[in-house]
Amino acid sequence: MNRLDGPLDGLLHLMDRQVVDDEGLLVCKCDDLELTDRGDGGLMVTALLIGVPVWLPRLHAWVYGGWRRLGDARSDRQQPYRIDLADVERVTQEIRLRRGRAGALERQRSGDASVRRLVGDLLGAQVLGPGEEHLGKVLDVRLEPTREPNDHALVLSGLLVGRGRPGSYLGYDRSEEHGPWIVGTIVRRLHRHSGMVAVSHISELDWDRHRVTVRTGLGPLTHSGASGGAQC
Amino acid sequence: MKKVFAVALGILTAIGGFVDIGDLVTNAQVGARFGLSLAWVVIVGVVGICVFAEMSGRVAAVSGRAVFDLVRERLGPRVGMVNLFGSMAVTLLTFVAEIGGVALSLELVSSVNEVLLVPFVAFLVWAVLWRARFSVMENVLGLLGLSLVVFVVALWKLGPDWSQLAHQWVTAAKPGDETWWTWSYYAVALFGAAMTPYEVFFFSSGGVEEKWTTEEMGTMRTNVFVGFPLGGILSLAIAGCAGVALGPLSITVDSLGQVGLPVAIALGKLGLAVAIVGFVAATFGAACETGLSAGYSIAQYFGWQWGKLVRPDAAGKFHLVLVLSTVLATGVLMTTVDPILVTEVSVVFSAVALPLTYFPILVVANDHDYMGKHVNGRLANSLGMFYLVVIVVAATAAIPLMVVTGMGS
Repeated sequence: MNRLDGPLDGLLHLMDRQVVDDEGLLVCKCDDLELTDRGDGGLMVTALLIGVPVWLPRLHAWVYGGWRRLGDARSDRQQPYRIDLADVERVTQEIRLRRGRAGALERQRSGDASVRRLVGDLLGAQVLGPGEEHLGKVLDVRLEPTREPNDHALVLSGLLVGRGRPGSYLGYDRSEEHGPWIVGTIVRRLHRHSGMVAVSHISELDWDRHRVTVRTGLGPLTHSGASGGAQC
Repeated sequence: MKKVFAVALGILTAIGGFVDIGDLVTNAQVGARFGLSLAWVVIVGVVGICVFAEMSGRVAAVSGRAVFDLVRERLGPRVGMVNLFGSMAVTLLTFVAEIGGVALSLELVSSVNEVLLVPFVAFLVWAVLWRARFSVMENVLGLLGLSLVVFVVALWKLGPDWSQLAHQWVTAAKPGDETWWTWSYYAVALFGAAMTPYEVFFFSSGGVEEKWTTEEMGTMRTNVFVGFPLGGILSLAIAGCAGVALGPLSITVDSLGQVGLPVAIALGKLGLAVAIVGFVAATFGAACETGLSAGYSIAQYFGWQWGKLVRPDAAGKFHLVLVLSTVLATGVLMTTVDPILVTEVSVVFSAVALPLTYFPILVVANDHDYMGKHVNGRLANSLGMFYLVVIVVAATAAIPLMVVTGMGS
C-alpha cells in the first residue's frame, strides 16, 4: 500500500523514516520536510530534508546553537541536503526512491523566502481560534497528493492541533486498535483536547511569530486511511 | 529434511550462543555464595528474554526492519538519542567485558597474561566482523559454545544431594551468612546478565541480515522457545556446579579459572579443556554480537547502511564504528583493569538500561503499520507488560543496591 496514493501525515508517516534506494540500499533518515509556499495560499511539501542542520535542532536548540558557532567559514554549512519528492517512488514502512543512492542528496539552495520547514517552522506553532482563543499547538500535518499527474508534491490539507508535544501521541491517535491497551488509553487521555483544522480555515500564518490563526474551532481527529501493514 | 536440519542447527546455535561472560561470572558467583536459591531469577530472566526476543524477531521477519531502526521513527529523534546513548554505553561496556573474557579464557590455556592477549583477541574479533559471513560466524561459534554442556555433566558427576538442591531452588533459601541486601543485589545482577539489553536489537538486526520473512517465523520461534530455555539450563548448571563444589569450601568466584574449577574437580583435565573451549566460544561469540550491536544501533539511528549483508565498502560508516569500538575496547583493557570487575559492572548497568531498550520494542511490536496482522496478541502483551514492570523495578533498584552492598561484598 503506497501511502502517497492517499492522505497521509507528515510527522507520522514521513519523518524519521528510513530512505531506501531502488536497489534496497539504505540512504538516510528523513530529518525534516521542505514546505514551499506556492503563493495562492497553498502550502506544499516538496522535498525531504536531511542533515545536521535539520536534525540537530530537533534534539535541542542549545546543542544546535553550539554546532552553528563551531564553524562559519563554509557558506552552505547550514543548508540541509534535500531529496525532491519527484525522486520518491513510494512510501510504505520505508521511503523508497526511484533512483540509486549515489548522488541522491543535494544541498538545498539558500535564500528562497517561500521555502520553509515542517519541524523548524510549522510544528509546535501556536494555533489561535476565533476571538484569540488558544486552541493548542500544531502537532502534525495532513497531506494529500495533488491531482496533477506530473506534480509529485504533497498538498497540506489540514493541521492536527493539540496540547502535547508533537510526536508524543506515538501514533496512537491515528489508529483504533493499538495495544497494549493501557498505554493507548493513557496516551489518548492525555490528548483528549486534540483535533483537526482544515487548511482552508486558516486565516493567517505568521512564520516569524510561529503562530497560526484559524477561523473556526477544532474539528474531530480523523484517521489518514487504513494502516496497510507489513511488506507491501 | 533440510527444514529439520535448519531447525536443529538453529536450536543448537541458540543454546550454545546463550551464555556470555556476564552469565559465566554471575552464575558462578551466585552459585558459590547462594547455591541455587536465586535460580528463580534465572528462570524469570530466561522467560523474559524469550518473550522479547520473539517480539524482535517477529518485527524483523514481518517488517524487514530492525528494531532500533523503528525506535527513532516511533519515538522521535530525541527519545531515540537518549536510547542510543544509554544502549551504546552499556553495549560498549559489555563489549569490553567480552573481549576481556576471551583474553582470560586464552590465559587459562596459555598462561600468557590476559593484557598481552587483548590486542590479538580484539584484532581477531574485528577481522571476523569485517570478513566472515554472518551465518557462518553465528553457527560455528554457537556450536562450539555447546561445549558448555560439560557443566551439566560435571554437576551430575559431582553427585550432589538433588533433593537438597531442589529444596534450595524452590524455597529460595538464602544462606544464613548472607544478608537480604546482597541477595537482592545479586538477583538484579543475575537478571541483568540473563536479559541483556542489546539482545533485542541484535536479534532483529540479525534477522534482517539473514533476510527472514514470515516463512521463517516458525523456525525463529522454535529457536527462541526451545533454544533459549535450554541455554538457560547451562546457566543453572554453572551455578549448581559452583554451589556444590565451591560453596562448601567457601571459595568466592573472582576469576575465570574458579568458574571452571568445579568441572576440573568433577571431570579432570579433559573436562576443564572442554569447558575452556566453551568459554572461548561463548565470549568470542558474545564479543561479535555486542560489537555488531554497537554498529547496528548507531547506523540504524542515523539511517546509514549497516550490516554484513552488503560489501564493507557499501557500509563504510558502520564498519568504521566497529573499528573504533574495537580500538576503544582494547584501550580500556590495556589499562589492566580486571575484566571480571568490568563484567560485574556491566551486568548491573545492563539491568539499569533494560527499560530504555525494552519499552520501545513493545511499542513497535504493537504497531499495525509495521506488523500488519502479526501484531502482539493478548498473551504477548500481557507478558510484555508484566516484564516491563519487573524491568523497571530491577532498573530502579540496581544502583541503590550496588551502593548499599558495595557491589555485593
